[in-house]
Amino acid sequence: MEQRFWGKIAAFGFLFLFISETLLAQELKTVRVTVGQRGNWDTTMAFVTGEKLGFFAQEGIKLDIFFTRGGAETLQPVSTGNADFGWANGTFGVLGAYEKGARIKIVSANYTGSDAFWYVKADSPYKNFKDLAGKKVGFSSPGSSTHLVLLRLAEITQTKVEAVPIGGIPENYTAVMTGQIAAGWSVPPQRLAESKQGTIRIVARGFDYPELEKVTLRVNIGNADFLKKNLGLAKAFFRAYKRAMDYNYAHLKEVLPEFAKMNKTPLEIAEEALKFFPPKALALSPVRGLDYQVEKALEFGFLKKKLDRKQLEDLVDLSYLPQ
Amino acid sequence: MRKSFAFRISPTVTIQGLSIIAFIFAWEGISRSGLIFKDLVPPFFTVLRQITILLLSHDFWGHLKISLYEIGMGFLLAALIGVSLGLFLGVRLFWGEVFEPIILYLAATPKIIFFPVCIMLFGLDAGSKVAIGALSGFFPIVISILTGARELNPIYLKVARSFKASPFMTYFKVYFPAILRHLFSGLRLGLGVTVIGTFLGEIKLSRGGLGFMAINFYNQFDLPSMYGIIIVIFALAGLVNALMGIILATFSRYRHTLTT
Amino acid sequence: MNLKKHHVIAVRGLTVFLFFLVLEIAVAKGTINPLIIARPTAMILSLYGNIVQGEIPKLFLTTMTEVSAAFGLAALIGFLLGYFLWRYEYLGLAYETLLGALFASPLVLVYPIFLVIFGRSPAAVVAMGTLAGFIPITLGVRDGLAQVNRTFIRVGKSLNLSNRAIFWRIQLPAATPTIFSGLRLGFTYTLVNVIGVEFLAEIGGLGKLVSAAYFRFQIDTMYGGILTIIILTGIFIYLTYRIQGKVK
Repeated sequence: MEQRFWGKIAAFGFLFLFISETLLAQELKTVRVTVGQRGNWDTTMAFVTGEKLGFFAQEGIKLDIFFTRGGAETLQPVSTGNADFGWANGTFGVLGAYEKGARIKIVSANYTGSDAFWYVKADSPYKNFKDLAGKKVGFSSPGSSTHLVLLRLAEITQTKVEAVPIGGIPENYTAVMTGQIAAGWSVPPQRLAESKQGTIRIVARGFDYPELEKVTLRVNIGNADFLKKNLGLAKAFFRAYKRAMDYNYAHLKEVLPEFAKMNKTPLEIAEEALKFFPPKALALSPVRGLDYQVEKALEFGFLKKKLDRKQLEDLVDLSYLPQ
Repeated sequence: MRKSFAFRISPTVTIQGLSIIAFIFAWEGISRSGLIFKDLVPPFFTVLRQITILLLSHDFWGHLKISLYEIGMGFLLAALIGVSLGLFLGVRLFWGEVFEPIILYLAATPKIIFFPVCIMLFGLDAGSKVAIGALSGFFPIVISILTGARELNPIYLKVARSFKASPFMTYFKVYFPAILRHLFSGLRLGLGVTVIGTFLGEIKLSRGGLGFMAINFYNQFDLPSMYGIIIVIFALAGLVNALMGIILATFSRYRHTLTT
Repeated sequence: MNLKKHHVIAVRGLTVFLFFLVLEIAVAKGTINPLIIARPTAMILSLYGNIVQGEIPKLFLTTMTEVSAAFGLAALIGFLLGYFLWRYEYLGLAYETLLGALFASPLVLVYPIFLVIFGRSPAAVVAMGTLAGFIPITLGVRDGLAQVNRTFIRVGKSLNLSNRAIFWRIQLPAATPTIFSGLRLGFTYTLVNVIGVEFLAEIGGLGKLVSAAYFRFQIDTMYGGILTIIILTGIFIYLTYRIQGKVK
């Protein structure tokens, strides 16, 4: 008698769960995110985990990710409302866009410090950054985060280098190997394999310089109109994201193979790359060094006028982050 | 023709064959010589191998579908708008004269520079690619019809009028068949440039399609795959062009029944 | 009939003017998002500012240098190749289909390869321009020389002119209209491809301006750049047609 009763309850329970899941699934709201540099630890892996383990779905969110080549490509769609969030934007670009009237807000920090490193050809005479005095050193484009880091490195080590805007990671590699420049930049896990093989030598790593940790070079932005109309959704989005990020760091053994596969590198290289991404660098808040970057943005022509207090307070809105 | 080999291969084919072999040798030579940094020009057979791997991969066919969809829709739009506008401007001689120079001059501009506007209006995905493809293909099509309309024998029109034909009948039974030859060449050219425009759009900003694959390989510095996908894209463009040629040739046979 | 011609020009001008007027009003009122389509007056102001105080003259010069270099190379290759394809009939027949096929193919898609080999430099742009332009020139030279009326050559021979004299004094001049047509086409293709690759790879001059302005959010500047390019290509097309007319 009892069995049948509990059986009915159980059946009812399962039916209820099934129906509610289906209903919930239809209730998923799409959140569009542009992400710079597919495969990077700080831009991609949390989304991958969050999708795979259903963190976003549980918050009622369906992710629609558009990978870009970074920089302004990530920023533009958010400004015009073609995307809701933009991940890993150079702060300069964000400041400039805001000044021109883009309806965007900085919703979190993306990377504080620098994950970049500079390398030289193995058979060259340069052993460390100071050896590059007077030599050509590559970065991506004027005003980019690599530009800023390179200049900071030069300041910190008191080394005057000739900074050349070579472009992306592949271009820098070609330029170094063909002798056009003495040193080029990269972000792990790219070029780590060559370093291990001994064809190139790393002369400076961003994370070796605590000075650089004073500046948040990459931020995550959201479209202001989207945020205004979807407060709850934005908060849910960040809850899921933070959960995924924390999960990644707690379950490295599980996540690293996926990371390695995405970047077409062997597992040991992926593990090596992780050293460049300590959890504190990826902290979603605070956004550091904004005043310093406003000054530099002015210097490079990304800003026409210094942004005042009121504008900065309007621009930065970390209220969507989980406390 | 001078007598050549025992198998009687024509000199033309001989030259072509030898050229292909020479080309492959040159490629391998440059690649392995160290003249250029070795990764920049991967060996010919490495590229061939990558093409095979690509064609067998699941990803490729998904991206191919995206590209074909974008090209198809873009060309359809270009044809519809191009033909309608072309016919209208061809018939209404006054408006044709007004707008033809504008169209001709705009036709010379590289359309890809309008791509950012397409992105802003139609989004990041297929929409913007369809738009730039349509924009590219529109011009050859509309110009071809205008040219055809201009060559139209005015006698046809007089005959139509003497039969008291309605405007619709005039369009359909008189204009259309007469300009068909020009239309066909315009459609051919239009498809060609639509293909180019679509792929360029994919290369500039997209997350799907063969153009996207190409620039992705570039960013990942997977050059053998990049060379490979570019070759595949060329082959595809050639195939699409040839297909169009066959379709048009088939319709061409019916043209004669319409005009006689 | 002159009245009619003026009528046409007037209506054309009026239509263009009305178009920009409507655009201006729609954007100013906000019916069209000003972040997507800039007001025509803003476009023109920004363009003016860019020309007078800004980078457009320099960028224009860069683009023109690239086009000149590419066209020069394309002409060189085109003439040499065209000559050999005409002189050695079998070569001509053998490569005819290949050239035709290449001409119809999406050659511009090869540009990432040039980016890899030459780096992100104007050299890559020039390479692309050359590749795009040399085929029409080659075909123009070859076809031009091939279609020279046999009679002219016979006349030359009957005058006891040397082969070299016949070539330089009879064949080449007779081929000139066709060669010029090829040159015109080659120039057009070079120009279009140079600007196109500048835009795609964001290097060089005017094309780079449009891409850079879009991504750095300077929509007014972007439209100014687009306008400049439209006017530039328009002027060149007009000029090349005029020159071709004179050559005839």
